[in-house]
Amino acid sequence: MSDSSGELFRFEEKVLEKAQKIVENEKYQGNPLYKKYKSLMRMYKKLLFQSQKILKISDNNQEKLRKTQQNLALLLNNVKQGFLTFGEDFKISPEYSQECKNIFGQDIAGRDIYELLFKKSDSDAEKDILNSIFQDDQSRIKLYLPLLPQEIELNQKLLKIKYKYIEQEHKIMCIITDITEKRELENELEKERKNLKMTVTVISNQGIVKKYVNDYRHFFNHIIYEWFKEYGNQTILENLYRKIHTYKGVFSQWGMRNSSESLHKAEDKINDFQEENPSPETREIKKFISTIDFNGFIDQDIEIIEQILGENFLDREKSVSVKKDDIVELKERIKDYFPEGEREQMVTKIDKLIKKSLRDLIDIYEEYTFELAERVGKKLEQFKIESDGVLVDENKFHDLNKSLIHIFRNSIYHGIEKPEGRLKKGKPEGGSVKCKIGEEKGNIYITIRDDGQGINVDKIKKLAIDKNIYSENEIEDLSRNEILRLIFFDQFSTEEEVNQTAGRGVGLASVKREVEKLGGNISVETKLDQGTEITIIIPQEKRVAQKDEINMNMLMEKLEKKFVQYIGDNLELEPDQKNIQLNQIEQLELSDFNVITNIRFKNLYDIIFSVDKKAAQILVENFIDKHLDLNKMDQKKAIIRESLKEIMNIIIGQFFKSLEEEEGCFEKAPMAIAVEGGLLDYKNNEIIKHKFSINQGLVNLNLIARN
Amino acid sequence: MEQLSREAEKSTPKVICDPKDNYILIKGESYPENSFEFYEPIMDWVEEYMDQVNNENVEVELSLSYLNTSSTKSLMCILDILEEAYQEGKDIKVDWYYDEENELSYEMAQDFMDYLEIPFNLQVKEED
Repeated sequence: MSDSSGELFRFEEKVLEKAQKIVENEKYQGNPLYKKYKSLMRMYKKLLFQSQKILKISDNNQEKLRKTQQNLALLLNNVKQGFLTFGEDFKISPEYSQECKNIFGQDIAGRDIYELLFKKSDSDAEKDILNSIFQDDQSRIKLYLPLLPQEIELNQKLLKIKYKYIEQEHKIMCIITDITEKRELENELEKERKNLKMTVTVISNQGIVKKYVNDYRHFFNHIIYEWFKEYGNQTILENLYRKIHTYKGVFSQWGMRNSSESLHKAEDKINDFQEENPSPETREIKKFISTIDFNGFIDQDIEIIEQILGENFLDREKSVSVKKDDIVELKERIKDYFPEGEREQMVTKIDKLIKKSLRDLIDIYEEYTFELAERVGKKLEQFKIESDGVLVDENKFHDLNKSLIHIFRNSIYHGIEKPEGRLKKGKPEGGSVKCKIGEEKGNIYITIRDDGQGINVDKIKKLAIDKNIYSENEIEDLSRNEILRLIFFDQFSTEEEVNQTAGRGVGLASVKREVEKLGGNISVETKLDQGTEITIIIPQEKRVAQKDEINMNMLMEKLEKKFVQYIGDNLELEPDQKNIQLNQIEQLELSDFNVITNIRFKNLYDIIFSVDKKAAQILVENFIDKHLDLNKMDQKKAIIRESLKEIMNIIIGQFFKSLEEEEGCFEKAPMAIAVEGGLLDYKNNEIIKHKFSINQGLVNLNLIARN
Repeated sequence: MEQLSREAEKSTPKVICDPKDNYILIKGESYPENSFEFYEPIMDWVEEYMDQVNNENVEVELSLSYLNTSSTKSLMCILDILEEAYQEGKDIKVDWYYDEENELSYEMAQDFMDYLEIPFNLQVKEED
């Protein structure tokens, strides 16, 4: 560019050169015009310089504009939208985007926008609007633009058009999108959605739909012809019209839209026929009716239903008869096609159909219980299930239901006495087992009670001591309820002998596990010689949080592993373990030294590490590598507290690292307290307690879920 | 002397000529139909102002993203006035802001710079 401008001014340069030579020539210097000439020359020089610069800058600007334009065009032509503008004369400007060519199939520069887009419509409304836009006050353009059609059908394409007024140019820009495919897809989706909805409605109203479909067929194949014997010609048509109208309403209510649309057309046909034939003959009416394919009207909808629910779905006798796989698939499809809120409603509808009566599920134990009683020489008089029609998802309750066998087994084995024993107690010879099933406040409850001998709390105490779960002293501190709950723990059975039927001691623990899997709770009540009642409560909808509720047992397992590992590797101590798990306690007993930590791993937990003086001594001695006099422990409280805190800190730190999915973290730093006989209140908290003994000292590791 | 200012419009830049702060700003795009009409009062102002300036430190800020040819010419006239004052020993400094993304904007700035002897700083325009 700079070169060309140099060339361009060559003539002027020469003029300047000449002038310079004249100025330099001494012979002109005396001339009266010399000064003026010289100043003129300077001006000329400056002007020339300026002109060259201006030219260059101007060229640069041009180049810049061209590039911008190019980039814009590139951008516009690669968008799947057509951009075009037109002015007052309705002529389309030549700068339209490439996509317009694809949409209109031709070069549209200079074409009349009205002819191109709006001509097809019957009125001149668009022309008026366009005229108003260009002629009226600019402030009102915003009012006019939305009046232009937003969707246009053109050459079998569906176009979506947005309009923008461009003030600087006094032009209108159209942004055109070809939505033909999108709309087809949407229509397909809508159709599928309607079909699914119809299917769901049909399954939930299966009985009545079946009845109506059969009635419908029967009517148009038989009854209608009987009518000719009973009614006059005019009445027949009127009644027929009414009948069709009823079916139309009913079918449309179930979303059988193909059927109802066909019936609607049939109504029109009858109207037309009546108009054309004010007093038709029977023969004519019969002929007319035979031209209408009433059977075919409902075929399409029924075909859709049968495609989803299996062939002959509506022909089958009795109620629900849908294959499970079909239901699962139907549910999947609903998930694909419906937004969240609506989806749940429909799925619930379907679920209701596939739910089973809980009573039926438990009913299978009746025969078993009677048989078992006979086998072990006991007499069962009554096995009764009372239920207020609770329905459950069979799959969900399968495992729990399977585990319930342990309760019935226990009732027969440990509960119901032998006939002679019962007679002695003044009870009827035969025992009874009663089940009650109900629903209340979003919970399902199952109580199973027998009128046997009840649970002997003292026997449980003795077993707990024998099995080294509690010491004699400890057990005295437990409430009756806490002791009773022990029957649900692993490794616990009141029957010493192990046989095929009962006594391995895992029975009730497995019931408890299944109950907990469903987010429920199990409890026991018993009265000596009057019987035992076990109550299971299962929330109907598992709490959302429960989805990733962490298995506390898993957490405790990991915590304990890290504890044992650390004590072993670093403090060279090997703890003996006594395991005990408590479920819901109200108070937690503290020991001489306690470290309390609040942690977070998805939920909040407390970890409480309690040690007695003996255990504290050995732990701290090994930790600080210094002897501690057991008698002077009280003066060393500070160092013991700090050491224990640090030990816990390390163990929990390692425990956090061992967690999968995400790391745990401290919610509060460990805090150490030294107390004697302190109690911590925990109302209805889930708690796992593990006990260890180290050098005759006692260590408790407690994991408590914060509510 | 009165301050002269113009808000930016569709085809004319924002102008501030402030004699108190000894500050001149021309910022925006310039392609008016009649450049002379727009720039004449500015030229007059600058000329009058330069006559009365003594040893004040005058700052001129130019930030022009687009100039049509007649605006270019007008701007050169203003720069001529400044140049003359500078040659008379007045303390004038010009800051030219250019768009970093745009090569041509830098070239244009340099073309203007070549034209002048006044201290001319090329600065990258900050996003606004």
